[in-house]
Amino acid sequence: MKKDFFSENGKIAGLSKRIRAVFDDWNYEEIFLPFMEEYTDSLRGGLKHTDGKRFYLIKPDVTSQIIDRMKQRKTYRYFYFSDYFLGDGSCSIQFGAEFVGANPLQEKVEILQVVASILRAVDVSDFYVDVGSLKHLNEILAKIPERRREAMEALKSRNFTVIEDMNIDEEIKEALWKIFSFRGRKSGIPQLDRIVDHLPEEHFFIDTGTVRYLDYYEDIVFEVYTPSSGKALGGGGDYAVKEMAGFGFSMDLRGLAEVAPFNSTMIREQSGKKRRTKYAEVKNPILNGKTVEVTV
Amino acid sequence: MNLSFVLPSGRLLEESANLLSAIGLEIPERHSREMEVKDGCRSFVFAKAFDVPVYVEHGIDIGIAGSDVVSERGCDVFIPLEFPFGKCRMSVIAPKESVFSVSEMEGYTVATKYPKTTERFFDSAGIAVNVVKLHGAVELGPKVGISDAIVDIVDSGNTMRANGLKEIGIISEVNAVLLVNRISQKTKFGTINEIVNRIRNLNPRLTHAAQMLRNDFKSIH
Repeated sequence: MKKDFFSENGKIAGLSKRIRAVFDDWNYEEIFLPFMEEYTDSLRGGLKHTDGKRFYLIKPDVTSQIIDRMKQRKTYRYFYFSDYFLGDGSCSIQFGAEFVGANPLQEKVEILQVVASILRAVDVSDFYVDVGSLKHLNEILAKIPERRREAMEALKSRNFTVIEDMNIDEEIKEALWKIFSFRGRKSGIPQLDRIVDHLPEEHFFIDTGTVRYLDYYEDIVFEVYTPSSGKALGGGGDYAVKEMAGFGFSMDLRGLAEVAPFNSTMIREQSGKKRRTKYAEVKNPILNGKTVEVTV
Repeated sequence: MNLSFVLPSGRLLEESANLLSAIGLEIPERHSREMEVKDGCRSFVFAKAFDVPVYVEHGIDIGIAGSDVVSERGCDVFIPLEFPFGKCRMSVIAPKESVFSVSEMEGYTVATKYPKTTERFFDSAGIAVNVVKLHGAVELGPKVGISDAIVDIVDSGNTMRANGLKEIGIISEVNAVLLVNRISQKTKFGTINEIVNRIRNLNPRLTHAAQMLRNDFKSIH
């Protein structure tokens, strides 16, 4: 039977209501960006387009659009909902947030808490967030500049055979193996340990093999996933803009709709007051009923 | 812990089953038409070779497939191991009487089961060709005049020669590979790493790395 578009839309609409309320509760402001921009080096992704005179990008990477607009040093907390292109010509809907201009550790912990709040708000309780360090990986790869690209490709797919076959120092191989095979809460990598120390232990892990590739990411990256889905729900990372640190994430709304158990009817049945109470509970960071204080 | 496998129902099936058996994962007896068999908490799905990466990408924990189909499908999966079986190559093939080389194929038409791989190969060489997707028996392409050449797998080369064709360029070497779902690698970290480790131990060349992994398991779990 063909999927009912309007029923699906009802679920997406319901989800987006809950997600917007969570962002509101965390004091994030919604940002509205043009769907097409004249091409510049600072924009990423999107579909290339030309009218014969100029080059444009349709739906470029939202984070790069936001970064491009940050002209002064101050604290920014923004969230967005936006269509985006999947590489095969089709589109999906993503939402995300950026927190810029504050203490870098505070930004990371808060954004990860917001992610957890959203998942709780849409009744996805069996989720995990794995955090990794690009800097740690790059320090190792810097020792093999001539094989860096090959090693990076192998790391993307966790290809043990390619690494083993490389004619490189055994110590470097060992360091790369450790990256492949560590998942836990104490990695010995200070910038990772500090982050997960502030976050509940049943959902947040360090996985040094977590590597996301966007060229503006500086060091910390993360992926969000649930055993209910074979694909990651989203992820994010840190970046620098105008001598400020930034941290953000994006998640696929349709992917989330596939694993979120509630339907649009449930949303309509909730009174506004009940919803606010639920979001307030969700904000109380976050899990296990315990408040997590961020020390910076 | 539940664990699901998808295996290719074609030429790689026997060696894939032997490999799993060698590490203590016996596939239960099955009726020839059964597409899934279960053994306690393990399930084994038998799929068309071309579909194995898709199943793994969408949630089956572990699969075995040829690197040719993984490349063609472009699925977002982990490929922790490459195997020494299922070896062959993907090549550009033309009628044996033809006199052109790959670099002279600008504007030619190429028939293939692997359109994405073919386009990537010719694009990277800066050669614009027309690609015609066929679902099998691609050797017919030049014979019936719908293409000037084909891109296909060459194993012994007998089928190619029997159809009056010759190899004029190699695109890539092909072998069987282990596929792991990206999320399963995280949610079933210990179990999947143990399977990878056991397979690696079958190959003396990989023993050192296996030891490293084993040491890491001890420290984590």
